[in-house]
Amino acid sequence: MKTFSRILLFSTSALLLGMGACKKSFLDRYPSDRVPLEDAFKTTTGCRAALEGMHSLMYKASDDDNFGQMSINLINDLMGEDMVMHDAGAGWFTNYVDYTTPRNGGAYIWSYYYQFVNNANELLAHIDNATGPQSEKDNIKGQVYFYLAYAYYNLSLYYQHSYMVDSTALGVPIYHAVTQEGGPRAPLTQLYKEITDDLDKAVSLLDPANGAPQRANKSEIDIDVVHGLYARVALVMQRWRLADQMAGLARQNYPYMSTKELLSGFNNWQNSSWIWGSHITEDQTNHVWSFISHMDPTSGGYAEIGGQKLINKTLFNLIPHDSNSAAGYDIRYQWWAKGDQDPYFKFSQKKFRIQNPGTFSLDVCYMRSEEMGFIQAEAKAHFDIPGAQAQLEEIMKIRNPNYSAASFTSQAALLHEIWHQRRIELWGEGFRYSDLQRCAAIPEASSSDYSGFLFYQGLHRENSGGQDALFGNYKTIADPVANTFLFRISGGEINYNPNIVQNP
Amino acid sequence: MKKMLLLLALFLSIGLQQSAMAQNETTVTGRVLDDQGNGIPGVSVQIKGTHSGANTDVDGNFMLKLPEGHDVLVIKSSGFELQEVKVSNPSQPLVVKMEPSNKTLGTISVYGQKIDPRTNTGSVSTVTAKDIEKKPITNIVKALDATSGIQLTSGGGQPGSDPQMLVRGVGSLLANNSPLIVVDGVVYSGSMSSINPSDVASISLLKDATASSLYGARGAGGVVLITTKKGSKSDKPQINIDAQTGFVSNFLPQMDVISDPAEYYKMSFLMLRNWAYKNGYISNAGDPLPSNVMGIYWDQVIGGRGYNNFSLNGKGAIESSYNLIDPVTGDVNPDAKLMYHEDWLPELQRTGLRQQYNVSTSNGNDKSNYYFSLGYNNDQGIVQYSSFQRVTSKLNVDAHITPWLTTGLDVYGVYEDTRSFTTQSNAYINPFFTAQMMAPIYPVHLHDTLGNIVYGPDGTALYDMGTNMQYNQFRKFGANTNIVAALQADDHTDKNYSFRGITYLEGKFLKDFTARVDYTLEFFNYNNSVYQNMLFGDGEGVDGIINQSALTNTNYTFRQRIVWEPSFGPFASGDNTLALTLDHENNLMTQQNYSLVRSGFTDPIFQQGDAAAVDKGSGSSIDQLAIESYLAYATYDFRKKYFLKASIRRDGSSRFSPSARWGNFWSVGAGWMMSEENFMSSTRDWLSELKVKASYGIQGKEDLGSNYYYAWLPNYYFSPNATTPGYLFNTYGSNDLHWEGSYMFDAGIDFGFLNNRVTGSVDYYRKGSYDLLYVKPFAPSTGIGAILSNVGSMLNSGVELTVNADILRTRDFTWNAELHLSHNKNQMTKMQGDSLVIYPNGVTILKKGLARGTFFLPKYAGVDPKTGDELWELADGTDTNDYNVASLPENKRIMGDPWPDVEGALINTFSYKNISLSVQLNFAIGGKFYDANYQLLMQPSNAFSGQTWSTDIIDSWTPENTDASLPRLGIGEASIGGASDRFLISRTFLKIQNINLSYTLPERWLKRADFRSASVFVAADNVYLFAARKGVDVETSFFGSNSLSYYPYRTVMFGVKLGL
Repeated sequence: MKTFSRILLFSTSALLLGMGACKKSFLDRYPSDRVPLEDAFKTTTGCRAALEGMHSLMYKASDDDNFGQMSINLINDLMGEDMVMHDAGAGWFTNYVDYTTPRNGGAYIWSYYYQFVNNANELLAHIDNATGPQSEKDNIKGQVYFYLAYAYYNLSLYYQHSYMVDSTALGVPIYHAVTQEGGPRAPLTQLYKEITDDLDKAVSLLDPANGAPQRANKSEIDIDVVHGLYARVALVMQRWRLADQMAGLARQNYPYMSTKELLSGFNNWQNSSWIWGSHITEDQTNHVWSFISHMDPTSGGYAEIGGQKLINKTLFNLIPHDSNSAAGYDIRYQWWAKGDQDPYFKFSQKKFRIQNPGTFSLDVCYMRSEEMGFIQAEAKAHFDIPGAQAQLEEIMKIRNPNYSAASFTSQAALLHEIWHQRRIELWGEGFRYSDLQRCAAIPEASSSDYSGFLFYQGLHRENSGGQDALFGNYKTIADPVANTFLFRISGGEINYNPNIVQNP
Repeated sequence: MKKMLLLLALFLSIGLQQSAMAQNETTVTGRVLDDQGNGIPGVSVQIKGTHSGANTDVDGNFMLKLPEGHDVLVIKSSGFELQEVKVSNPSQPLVVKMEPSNKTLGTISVYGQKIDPRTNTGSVSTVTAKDIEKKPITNIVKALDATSGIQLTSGGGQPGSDPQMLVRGVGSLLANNSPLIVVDGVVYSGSMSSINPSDVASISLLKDATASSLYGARGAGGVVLITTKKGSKSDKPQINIDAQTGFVSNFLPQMDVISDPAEYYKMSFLMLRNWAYKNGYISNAGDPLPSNVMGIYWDQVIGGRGYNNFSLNGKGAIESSYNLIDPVTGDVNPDAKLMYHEDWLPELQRTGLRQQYNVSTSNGNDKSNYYFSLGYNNDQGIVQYSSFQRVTSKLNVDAHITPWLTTGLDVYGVYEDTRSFTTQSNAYINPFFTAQMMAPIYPVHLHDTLGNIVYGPDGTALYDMGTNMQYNQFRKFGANTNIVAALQADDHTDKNYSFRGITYLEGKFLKDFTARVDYTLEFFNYNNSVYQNMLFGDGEGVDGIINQSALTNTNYTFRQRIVWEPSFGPFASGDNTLALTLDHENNLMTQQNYSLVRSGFTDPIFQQGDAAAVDKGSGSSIDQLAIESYLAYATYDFRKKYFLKASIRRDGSSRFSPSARWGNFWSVGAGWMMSEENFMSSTRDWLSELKVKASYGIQGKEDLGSNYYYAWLPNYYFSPNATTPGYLFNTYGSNDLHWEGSYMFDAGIDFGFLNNRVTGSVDYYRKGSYDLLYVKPFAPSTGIGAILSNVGSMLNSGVELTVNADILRTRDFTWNAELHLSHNKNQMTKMQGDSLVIYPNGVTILKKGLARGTFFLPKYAGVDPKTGDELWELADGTDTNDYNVASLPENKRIMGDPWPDVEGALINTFSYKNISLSVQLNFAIGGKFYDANYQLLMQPSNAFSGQTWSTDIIDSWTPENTDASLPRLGIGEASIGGASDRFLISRTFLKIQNINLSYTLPERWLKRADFRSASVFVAADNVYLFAARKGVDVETSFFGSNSLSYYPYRTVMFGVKLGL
């Protein structure tokens, strides 16, 4: 008996000691669905994955009305006068229509673009120490600099009036490194210097002449995409020749889409004119949290239950639609429903359609060559009117063979025509609110004595259609540089960043 | 005179004693009965001052020989109070009636560790099986609802859901505030709903540091110690059967809402009229609305794309014209006839049936004992189709292999099947959101334009999905779904399989040593399945969707322990008792998760993944959490008068970095049984027990839940770009992140008067938390905007009082009252020094000097009589109508906190012969409650979203009613109805928690039927609530706020208990 006791004592003590000896490994546990920071950037393969993550951020859905760039495009259009919500539906986006979320400091746009900044800075901090070919590092860095410029440029559209209204006004904080300390708002001059510097770096790093490889697909950033963003930035800065040059470079490899493609639903990145877009697979879309759920009433998403997006009635009726008339027939008339036809309400959009009914996998477009063409036309109108007319006709003849820009001979008239066609062309692609902001700084936009659809400075929705179902559709901001246009900064930033200044 | 009599009695008793001493040995016989008069088998009857004694037989009889000079018997039985009985007349058989130990006494023995309330130096509350039986509960946590120092939430109404627990105030910010659950000595990580209450022998709440520090590193939030039943010595197997059945029904009345369609039309008309006035469509408030504005109204509320419940001249919905509504007043034309009106709540709700059956058998002898049980529950919820089923089985065996070696096994298996629905606060498929918010103009069933219900080909009434263009109907509230239909057509099921096994080997060696090794394996398999049908709702666009996940949690604890209880030298006499324990344990939790989402069904009869055509994603992950602990623990007592306890422990957790993962914790405690002192002898006739005690200790906390298994590690998450792998930044980490600490000082007095007819305890405590773990926010422009840190300190201090008294005690009638009172004050004492201020949500503030959960809100300043604007008072004392300004931090005010000043429970038990009635009241005084549900019902800005409003909204400002109590009704008025103290109410409540009436059948009847015991009872739980506002469950959360979640229910159960 005593022997046994001793054995028991011995074995127990041995176990105690044994456990003590291996305690280090016992308490070391690592996740299976997370990448420890120190492991993420060991090689350029990891750095590439961190870049792909940023590409996925373009369409990452986190809520019914937060699904990346496409949700911000919707916000941009819904805050203008050309896109009208049929009805409140389940209530998504209506607080943007009536400007309450922007004025209450809704956090989404702010924190969305700063995620790009944060991921970009983290990557830039580590990539030089990663093992892998320098060419790969350069390619990744070029794309990262693009995203920095992209984020700052987009933030500047919402949190301050346009650059040319007052370039000394406060923009948004700039971060050159990962930090936990909130920074002060940089003036727009500094912000736009940052943007153009980053774009210059991206151009140089992604230039095929410097050995940059061809991109794998349209979700990657190549030099054409950088030129396209450069054109947008130059347009805001009213550097007309630069805008024309950059837009021309951006679209040189992307022929304008055909009439067939124009009516094919804007859902396939094989489309010849798409410069930059994403392919969203079935498992990366939470189906009702998606662009197409809000747009296409046949999808079974939010558009079906009242959230259908309609075109401003006046704008719609200005689209030539009688092929027997001199004005001809503009094929874009078919982007919207003429009358109530189940499941479409009158004026409901049909431009964006679901790719495969029953599924929500989809390609989405962030940049296409027609936009670049319109940038060139608008820019040229400031220094080369015949050139601008030709640019415009090149696009418009595909839509309406009867089209002619010959009658728009004055600069102002031509600009109004370009803007008018741009509104129709880019409807639903996220430009209207920022164009209103941008035109506040363009004197030609204020005149209203041109025939056709009037281009206002400021927001005038009561004239814009008469689809009255949603009360926000009545919003009017007559002063083109009214404070009420501005997004206010979110409460989290105000509470935890002592260096921040709120918008009025 | 009284004194003289007492003295005389004393002399007489001395005389008797002397005469007894003259004899050599006396035989004493007797019987030990429980409180219901049944004999208790296996009770130890000891002769005080000797080592001899006897056990009772199966009927509770005993016989023993009393040596000279000894005449006091000590009678001990688990679950009953220890009794000392003086044998005054040995020739007469003794009858000893035992009192159940629901008061304070009774030793709880857990695998070698004993908590003896007599020698305990800390604060422990115990609820025994006897108390649990009185309550018709499915969840064991509910048994603690009359215990001082613990706060429970009502737990919601989903059958099987767990209420939350808080011991001595909220002690953490992010870490789990619930106490640690220890079942049979080992930390339990499963759900509380998996424990069958009828298997539980006792449930104890350990509140102080010395008691709780023994049960794992994570005891800083208190410990709930559950001890399950074991077999006891008996001649024949004991079989217990109980069967209960009853009803569950809605406990909470609905808030008063506008439920008349005409009234609803009028209110929305008034909103529109105010809007038209404000926007210049009419110049005087009394002008009739112009037809284009009326057109909007028509489109939005009736006719058009809305619903018209009225018919004028028999034309039905479509033909009705603007004449239906008076364009000046908004009144419905008196000639119009109401075609239909349906109420949603009755369609959703039901009186549920609840059944519970348990069978157990147990037995034991000198060599071994066993306990075996089977339990079955079937609870229907008060919402259609919601239910909970549970099958439990338990086997417990102890075997004495040799006199010095014991082994044992405890196995517990559970199957649970829960059917529920989403209670996401603003989802249209949340039945409570729908029932509360749906405007009264929307019907449950499809109606044609003449108001007749439309029937399908099979003759059943069709549901109204709110998108029927054929009838020109378009519901503004939750179009394309119908919650009544969705409850039927969708499926939200959880199937859980749990297994828990404990094996141990315990041996004695070298005379005074005991060594023990035990191994606990827990296995939990949770299977969640959410199916959304293909015909309507969110699943329609993808032809139905199924979302399934399986989570398997395997958790082992391996523990080695050596106990030394010396019996030599100074310890031989029994005056000094010392026990030293060394303990080491490893705990490893491994969690494996699989998930899949598929869509594209062909027919609603198919609801599993294989029937769906489209893969919408799948995933898997494994997470591990490891904890290792070393413990040394000593107890010492001297002559049962002085008690000392001390412990020191070192715990490591894999949540922290290698440089910060170990924490050291300790505790000391002392107790003094004053009533045992000689100088107290004069008070012994009225003061039966008086003990003072104090303890102090430091404990650790690391339970941050499943989101922070690798809390210290900065990391990226996987976010592929289409089919290319991708990473996105997830979170910062910190090598400095370390254990949250908590110190607890506890001092108290345990007392018993009049032979323990009145017993109780008073405790004072200070519980401080430091290095609190919390997600410290920073500016969102930095990209992530938060980091997990040790941010501050917090203090809870309070007093607890428990008194139990037999107020009346006659032969046939007794009246026992039990009162529990607790007071706790919570305060943040540090927030990274003094400076850090955090706003955890829109209504609270976290700041040094304030309680956790303090409300921080704009101050409502009434209505501007001129404009009807809602006004708030700014910091400078002026009023504003701009909510953006009013809600700036500098203008908000501290508006109290959710914590009650006093919380308590009072249980009165009346027994007359075999009938017993007990009534339990729970109450709280003080504290604030933010009534978010009421706020939702007071939102004019949500007009035309198809919601209804509280009836209070009728007294809103209009140009005709300028001294109204509520601001203007309007449309898109973001500056009206924002969070303010307007929605704060008092949290004070009184609740009739439980009523139990039981009848025990007399023994003489049972003998014939060969039953050991039999009783019948009826019990009701959640009987009635008195609170500040009708329809508000103020116990729904600790932090004093509500959402439209599953209402709690009332239970009425009838049952039979049989002992064979």
